[in-house]
Formats: sequence, C-alpha cells, structure tokens
Amino acid sequence: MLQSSLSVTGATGTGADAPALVLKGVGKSYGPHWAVRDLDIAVEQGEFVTLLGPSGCGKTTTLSIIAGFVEPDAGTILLRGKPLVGLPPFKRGIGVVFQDYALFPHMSVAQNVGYGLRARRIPRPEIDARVEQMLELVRLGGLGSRSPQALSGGQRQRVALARALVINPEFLLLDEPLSNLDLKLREEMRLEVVRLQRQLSVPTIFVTHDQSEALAMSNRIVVMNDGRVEQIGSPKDIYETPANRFVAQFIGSMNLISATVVEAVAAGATGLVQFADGSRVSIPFRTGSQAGRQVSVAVRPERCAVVRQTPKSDGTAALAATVTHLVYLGSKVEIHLELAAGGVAVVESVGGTVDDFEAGQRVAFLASPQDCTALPD
Amino acid sequence: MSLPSIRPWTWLKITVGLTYVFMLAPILVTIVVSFNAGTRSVFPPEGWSLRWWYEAFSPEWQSAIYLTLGLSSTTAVLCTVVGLPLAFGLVRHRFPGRKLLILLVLGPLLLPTLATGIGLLQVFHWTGIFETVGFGSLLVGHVVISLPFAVRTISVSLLGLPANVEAAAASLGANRIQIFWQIILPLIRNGLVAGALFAFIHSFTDVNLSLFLSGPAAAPITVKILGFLEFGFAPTLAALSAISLIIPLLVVLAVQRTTRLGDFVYAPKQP
Ligand SMILES: Nc1ncnc2c1ncn2[C@@H]1O[C@H](COP(=O)(O)OP(=O)(O)O)[C@@H](O)[C@H]1O
Ligand SMILES: [Mg+2]
Repeated sequence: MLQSSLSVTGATGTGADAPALVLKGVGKSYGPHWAVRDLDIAVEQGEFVTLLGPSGCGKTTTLSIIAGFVEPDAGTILLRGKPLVGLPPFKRGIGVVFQDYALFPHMSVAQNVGYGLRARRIPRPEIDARVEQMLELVRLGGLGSRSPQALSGGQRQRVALARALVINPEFLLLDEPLSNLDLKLREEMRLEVVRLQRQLSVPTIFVTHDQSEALAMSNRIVVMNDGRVEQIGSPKDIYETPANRFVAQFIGSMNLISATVVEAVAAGATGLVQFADGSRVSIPFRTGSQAGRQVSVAVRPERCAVVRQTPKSDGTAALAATVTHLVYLGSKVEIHLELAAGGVAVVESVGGTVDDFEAGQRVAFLASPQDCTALPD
Repeated sequence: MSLPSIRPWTWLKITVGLTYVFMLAPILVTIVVSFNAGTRSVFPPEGWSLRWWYEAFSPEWQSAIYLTLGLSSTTAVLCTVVGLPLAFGLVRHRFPGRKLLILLVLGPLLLPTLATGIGLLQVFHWTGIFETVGFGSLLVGHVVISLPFAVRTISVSLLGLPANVEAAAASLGANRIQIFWQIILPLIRNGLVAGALFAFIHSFTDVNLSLFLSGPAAAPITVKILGFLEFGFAPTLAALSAISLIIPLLVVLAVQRTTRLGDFVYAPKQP
C-alpha cells in the first residue's frame, strides 16, 4: 500500500534482485580502539535482520554508520547499489527508531509523525492524510493531538515507528526499540514490529541484546562480539549450529565439554574426538581440524539425557558424571552434573521429576552424536 | 515531632524571614518615602503627595530612563545574538583556544567591573573606535559584562537538549538549517529568553561600568541617580529608584508567564 516515493538511480548492481543494503569491510575506530571492524553484512529486499550482541559490541555504532550519523574509517556501504559513504543522513532516506525514541518534545504526536514529510516540503493536506493513515496503521488513531509526554512507553514506541515509516524509507533501522518496555508489552510489541515490517515490506536491521527477541523476530541474525561479526545465519542455524564458543554460549545455554581431536577432520565432516577420561565419540565438525587439537564438544541441555547406568557402547556419547544439584523450573527440571572427564554440564528434563535423581548420585550423561558439534577453542 | 527535627525548620524559617525583611523592607521604605509631602527623605513620611513623582517624570529624567531602556534592550538582543553562536561553539566543539574563549567570555563575571571599565576606557581611547564615552561605548561595555549570563543560560539549555532529536530529524530528511530552526531553536527557547532577560537586568541595574563609560549626553538612570545623590537624598530619587525597580520587575513578570525561568536559576530541566 505504501510505496517508496524516493527514486533510486544507483551506479552498480541496481535492480530488483540487488540486496537492499550491503556493508563491505566497514570499520570505525575511536582512538586506538575499533568500535566495529571488518563488517560484511548484506540485507536482502524485505528482509528482517537482527544485530545481536552484548552491550558495547558495536551495534549502535553500526546503525549510526548506516544512518550517516557517524562516518566509517573503512569500508563501503551500498543502499540498493548506491554508495552511501559521504552522503549526509538527510539525503539517505533511511528511517531510524532510537532506543529512547527521540520524539520531539515540542511537537504533538501528529507533528512528530509528519515531521519527515514537512522537511520534504510536502503539501499540508497530503501530510495530514498520510499521518492519519500511519497513525491508524500503528493503532494510535485519534491520538494525533496529544503531546508525546502524555503517552505511555508503548505508545511512544509506536509514534517513533510511525514517524520513521511515514517517509516510506528505503531501509529501516531499529536500535533496541523494545528494551525500555516491560516484559509483557515487549512481547506484544515484538509481534507488532514484525507485522508492520512484513506489511510494508521494508528491509530492516533491528538491534537487540536479547537473544529470545532475535530468535523470535528475525529472518536472519548477525551475532556480534567486540566489534566483529561472529556468525550470520537464520535463527535455526544460529541456535543449532553455532560457529564458535561465543555464539554457542550467547544464544541459549550450551554444554561445552573439552576433548581432543583424534585424527584430522575436514570441515563439515564427522571426526573422532577423545574426552579426558579416555572415552571416544564421532561427531560433526563445522570447521576442519588437525589431529591433537583441543576442541569443545557443544550440546544443548535439552538435547541431552541422564541415566542411572552407563549403557553399552552403541555410538551414543556417554560420560560418567555425578549429580551436583537439581533446579525445579515448573515445566522442566535442570539436572546439574559434574563430569568425570572434567567440567560441568546441565541437562534439561521435560516431564521428568525432581525425585528421579538426587545430589551426589553417580549417573551417565548421554547425547546423540548428531546433536553434538565440535567447536574450535 | 521531636525537638531535634523541629529546630532545623525553625532556623530555616527565621533565615527566610530575615531575608524577606532585609530585601523587602528597604524597597518598601523607598517606595513609601517617594510619596512624602515634605522636602526631606524621611520615614515615616510627613504627609502624602505625588510631587516627587511629577518631578521624576520631568523630561530630563524621562530621557535618562529611555536611554537606559534602549541600552538594556539592545544589550539583551546583542548578547543573545552573540551568545547563541558562542554557546554553540563552546558546547558542541573542541577546538584550540576553547579554554581561552571560555575565560574571555566568563572573565567579566569574575573580574571586578571596575577593572573591566578602566580596561575598556583605555581600549576606546587608544583605538578611537567610539568617542571614548557615550552610547556606543556604553553598549559595548554592557554587552561585554552581560554576555556571560546569556552564554551560560544558552549553554545550559543546549546541554539539556534531549539526546538524538537532531539525529532523528536528520534521518527524517531535515537539513542543518531546518534542524536549527525547527528542532534546536524551539527546544532552547527558554534558555534564549532567560539569557536575554538576565542580560537586560544586568545591564539595566549596572552602575559600576556605566560610571566609566557615561558621557554628559549619554548617562543611564543609575549614573544620574548617583550624580544627583551628591546634592542629598531628595525624595525624587526615591521615586526614581522605585521606577528603576519596577521596570525590571515588570519585565520578569511578563516573561515568567511564558517561560520557565526557574529552570535557569535553580536546576536546568527541559520540557
Ligand atoms: N562517540 C564515541 N567515542 C568513543 N567511543 C565510542 C563512541 N561511541 C561508541 N564508542 C565505543 O564503541 C564501542 C561500541 O559502542 P556501541 O556501538 O554503542 O555498542 P552497543 O550499541 O553494541 O552497546 C564501545 O566500546 C563504546 O565505548
Ligand atoms: Mg547501543
């Protein structure tokens, strides 16, 4: 229903199938410290991509570079094939929603939403009509004359969204827009933001440090740490085949058990590893490895099991362990173990009861090899 | 309520009370004396009359008041116009010489006005830009001594601008000029008005600097009153004092209706 009113004449790669946004080797340093470095990210038309990472990892800096508030020290940025570096923010046509919303306190809700159209010198009647339509779309119909200060957090959030969307942006940037809302509202707004994004089909980068938000909302997730990209993939990819220890531990919880590679393995192949207690198992490797290297065997707590007796060897990874304690979480029970091979592990048992095991009990920790991944240390 | 918790409040009340007495009583006495029927300034008055007020509105005094009003308003406008870019530069940019500029701008606030006055007088004499004394030099001097107030309040309001509103406006397609007029200026309006007002009052009530820079043709009301005092404290002076008290007061009250001045006297806060 809302089409982009901004014409694009790009030099290279312009076309219906060109990615909406491409970052190539983008970096920004503050003094000797690189806030972000070597960023290579491509966002397809209509795609919802999330930047996920701990506080201070460079998410806001990345958005500021794309929006044009900060000039990068390295790299190129293409918006539908058209280079952005050097172009001032007001010529980019990129909608931005800030963490604190940054609404204009001296303007009404309608004036806030209409500001981008006013700046473009669009005639007043058209502004009014488009603002009205946009307020309906974000379910704020009738609140146009209010002052932003008279709104709840969730409503301000919607005003900020409406204000960024009314200009028909070529791209949308959202910087932790939900983190100032309380839990219930946050989960509601997740759906709302995704609904709007799908409806308007505007390519979007969404920033969060909340992994469940990222998993629930995104087409693809870019996991960042310390200014770099750790992994890019679908929520399923990221969760099920994390590229490294950081990603494995940042998204959900992950058991990481040290082991040694027995013989050289190629990337994507299956290879034999040996634990400290001498037991061996054959598991998939994401990246190739030489013999003798230390790796972490990663397996999700909900993909493991605990049994009282060590079973006969049937290819299942089975490690001797001692129960340290149990955590009852209602829908599931966490069984915390100390492994004979060194380290600790957690097993989530859905439907199990706390009475099945007790602290100090000697048990076997089980995982099916295809649920395990070897991650380089 | 226990005794120890009463006492601080009692002291506070006494202090506030004394403040009122010492600040308001002389003003009230002056106003009462200006309506005295007698020829001497005494309190309580020896009967009532408006004769000293007629005297105070004689052409000579009137022209002094107009001159002062013109001087103070022009000072206020100039301080705001000069203070805005200065505050912008000092708040937003880090450049070589910034510390020196801060000192120069705030200097007149720290120096005795006497020193500023003598300094300016020498500069005028030496450069010959203005006739050494007169309206031009008064204006320059008043802008110099009132500028710190404007720069300070405008800086406070610039620092209090909500984060990211300018970035938000830019992302919505507003260029620098639009951002300045449509976002920044409305949001620092209170600071601008307060700065202009403080500059106006500071200029209107100044006597120290004006003493140096006034000429026979151009002397503000404060200097004239001081000169007249040599012939004794005539009740005319009481009436004139009342006038020069009421004018800034009226201006403050008028501005107070539209602007939150308290923010700049106590704690800065943006809407
Ligand atoms: N204007 C700046 N000056 C100096 N360092 C900055 C500036 N902005 C960001 N940084 C640094 O860059 C890093 C990334 O910051 P940021 O992008 O805000 O992280 P995030 O949004 O992921 O929390 C941090 O280490 C931060 O201290
Ligand atoms: Mg941030």
